[in-house]
Amino acid sequence: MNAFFSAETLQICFVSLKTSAAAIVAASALGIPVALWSSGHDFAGRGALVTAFNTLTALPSVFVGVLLYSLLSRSAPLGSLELLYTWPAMSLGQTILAFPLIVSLSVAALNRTDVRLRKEMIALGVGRWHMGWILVKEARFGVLAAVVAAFGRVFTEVGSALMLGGNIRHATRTMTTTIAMETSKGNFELGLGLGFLLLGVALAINIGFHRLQEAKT
Amino acid sequence: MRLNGMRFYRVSVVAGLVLVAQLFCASASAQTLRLATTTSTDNSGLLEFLLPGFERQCGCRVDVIAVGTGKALRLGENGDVDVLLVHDPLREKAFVEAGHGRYRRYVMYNDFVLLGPAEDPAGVRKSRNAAAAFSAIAGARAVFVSRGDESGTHAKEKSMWRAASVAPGGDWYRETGQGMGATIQVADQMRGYTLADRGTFLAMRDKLGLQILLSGDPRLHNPYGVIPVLNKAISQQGATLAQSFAAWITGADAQSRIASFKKYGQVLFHPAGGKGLPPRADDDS
Amino acid sequence: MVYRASRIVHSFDGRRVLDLQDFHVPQGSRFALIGPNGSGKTTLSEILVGLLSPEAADLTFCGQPAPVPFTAAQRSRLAYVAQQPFPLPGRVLGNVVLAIGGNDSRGEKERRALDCLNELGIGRLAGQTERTLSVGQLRLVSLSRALARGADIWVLDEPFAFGDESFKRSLDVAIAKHNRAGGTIVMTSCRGTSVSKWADEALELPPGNQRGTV
Repeated sequence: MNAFFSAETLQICFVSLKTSAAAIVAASALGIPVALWSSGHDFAGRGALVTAFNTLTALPSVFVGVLLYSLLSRSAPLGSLELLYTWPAMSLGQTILAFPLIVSLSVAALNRTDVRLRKEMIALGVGRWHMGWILVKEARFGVLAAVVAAFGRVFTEVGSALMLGGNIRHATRTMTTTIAMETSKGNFELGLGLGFLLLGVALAINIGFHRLQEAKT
Repeated sequence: MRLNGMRFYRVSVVAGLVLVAQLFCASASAQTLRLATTTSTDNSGLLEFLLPGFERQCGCRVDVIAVGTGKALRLGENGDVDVLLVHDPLREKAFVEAGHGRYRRYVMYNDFVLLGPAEDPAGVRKSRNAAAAFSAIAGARAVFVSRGDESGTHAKEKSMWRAASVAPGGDWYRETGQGMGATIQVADQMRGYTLADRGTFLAMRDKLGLQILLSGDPRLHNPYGVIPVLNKAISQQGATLAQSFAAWITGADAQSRIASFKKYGQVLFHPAGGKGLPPRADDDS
Repeated sequence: MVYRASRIVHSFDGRRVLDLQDFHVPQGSRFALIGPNGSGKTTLSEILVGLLSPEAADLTFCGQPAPVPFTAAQRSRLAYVAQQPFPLPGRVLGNVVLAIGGNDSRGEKERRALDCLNELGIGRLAGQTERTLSVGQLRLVSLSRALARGADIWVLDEPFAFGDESFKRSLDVAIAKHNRAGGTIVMTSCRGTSVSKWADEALELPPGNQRGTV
């Protein structure tokens, strides 16, 4: 168990956290406005769009991995960005995984807000972005739940992290790719230990989100 | 409550700054050499033991991507890695001939071993050689667990079936599509046979019921080669580093380090001195 | 003329709730819409502020055909106080500041917002969360946003229903002051008597349930 209590384990946690945090920030920054837009007004194909986002929540992470690999490989269109096997590449994959989940759950949360709130703000002449912000504040429980669910999805996924990060030691080795690697090496104890650590970190983050929900009331 | 909001705000700002700083670090990374290699070399701890020497010498960082030989060759073809350390001589030769690699140098070797349950239902222990052992397994329809992942080990296994004149298939032949460690575990759980590299088996030996039933056949020789990748997508710097890596790992220093690397009281890899081809032309000849 | 309509029609789920002919609201008037519950008062007031798109209408607003939603310029002249305004998230003061446009500093805007609250006698509510307010208080907060925006046309839906006396007094004073300054006020009520002494023009909406289905 010496391998477990080491600076390397800390570093692996940090890589996991920063990758998923960046992905969640990006996916929220993109997803919440899209959710606001598609819940705010009626337009042709709105139902189809929402159904599409609901379906994409089941996007397999390995598929996202191979898709992005085929774009980010040095011999591929975006190869010159030199992103493959870096943590931003993993983040990008996780952003794609988190985005539909955030949109889908936020749309549901925003649709639950009272229609009179929108009317009050329209009557007030509040600008579009400001109105969006107020709606998000009103629906913050649901929207934060969407963010938490998306975080859970990307923090624990292994498929795209492995394909896009390459499990490079001291660089792109995350908690999940380490668990996969240690387990394949037969180090079940280490795999289990890291699994529990991952759960612990997820728990801490959920408590943080919960306190945030409480704090804003 | 307002205080909480403020504190949250400050924490987010700091976290955001850290992320942005990290992003810049990632884009402005120092010299790195990207090495694709097999899980067997990485999992054994050999690279961890060797690479710091090279990193000191070149003042660079080596990023190791441990995958099967098949995938490593594909990554090389796409120019996603700068140098390969793999173990499938036939495909390595084809890779260089197709213009994807500058050259191939022979780095080291170890051997494959045939693993199976102690009770040995197919009677592999009594076989004269490896080919006879494989045909005994097929004849007994005893469970055989294959990597099935186009790795170097899988290629070796397929060549053994050819040597035994058997086309494996049927419910006794199970393909995992996973790495060496995972495949050994599956074989252990199924009490089946499998072909494994000695290093990975030794690393897991204490946790397994499987035993080495056959080894030492020259056909089970497992040579590792180094290939600097030739691809216009690779930077000048990467190409230069790749060549100095190939020269270094076949040089006297690294070779004696390889010979001194012991685990479980055994030498896992034997240095081969950088000759162009393995001493014995591989199977299928 | 603020509003001029030759016909306004609207239905909900196939039931016609509003069918009005020849309706106009002159500039600077105190206009009462009187009718029992279900006669379409709320529907009409939402149409008048552009919150609801009527099924069919021939309506002009200040001489221009009224689009839905209204343009920003038209909207800036309008204020609407719902019968039960929905509390905006957050504190009263900040939500009144919302109504003030322009590039003034936050401090300046807060000062003006507080003036508007004080004018309606609810300055003490400035630091409260809107969610904790009573319906009467919410209406005054909603009205203080109308003051803050400087809208000249007020549409008030049943402003005097279920409120205590002090609240009604504040409202009376504010409406009178707005009218003296030349503002137009459209107000709905279900009791004609209490409004008729106040209004200088009134329109009676027939009860909705006599209309039957379409």
